[in-house]
Amino acid sequence: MEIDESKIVNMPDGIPGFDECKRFFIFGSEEQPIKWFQSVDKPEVALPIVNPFLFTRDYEVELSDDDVKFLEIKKPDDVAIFVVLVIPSGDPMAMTANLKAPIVINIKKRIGKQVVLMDERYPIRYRVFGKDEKPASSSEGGM
Amino acid sequence: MLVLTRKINQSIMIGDKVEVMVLDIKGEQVKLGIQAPRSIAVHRKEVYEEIQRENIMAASSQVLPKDMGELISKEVKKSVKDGEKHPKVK
Repeated sequence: MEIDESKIVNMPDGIPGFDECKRFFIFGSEEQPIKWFQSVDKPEVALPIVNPFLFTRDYEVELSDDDVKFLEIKKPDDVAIFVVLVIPSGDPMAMTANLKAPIVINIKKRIGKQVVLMDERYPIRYRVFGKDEKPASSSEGGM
Repeated sequence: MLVLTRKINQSIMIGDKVEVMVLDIKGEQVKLGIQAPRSIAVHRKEVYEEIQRENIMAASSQVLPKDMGELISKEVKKSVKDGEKHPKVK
């Protein structure tokens, strides 16, 4: 597959689980909200991603000063935000989105990072459809 | 690894900006208070490991079912109706 160099997103830190993958591109058709975050160097690595603002309200990505510096962000318009989806085969409706660790991309500079938000409200496994995740029967004493 | 013994309400400094204080000890649980500049991210180690696992799971997703796009689009319309707030980056 030919990749347009100008579309490559550099992820200098890689992403957790795939530290060795430093270059990605976003692959998918315009009208499909779910895209693939495709590794350039390891073709077998591709993660489904989506714009979280399509299905969440009140979702806020608060970047640390270090992340802003790292991503060379000058203004909010520079930024695109995606979240990684886990789509269980056989039960796609049970898909979950990782709101805790969005992929933040400076679209001008083509630099990205999967940041970890400090905000405790955002789960790693957010049910995209039917978000009322029933708490498991309270046998386990939380915390 | 540096090992230090601390009592409740005692703390350690990491550099001159990060303070970790022992707030409470109950049986096997230790409650820590961490004071650090905004530029430093502080997370439980498990969070990072969970994100690793989640990414690996995500990468094993098969070809996207076609109708998923439509379903998400429906979610979009619902949110817009409910008065979606604009994306906010601070």
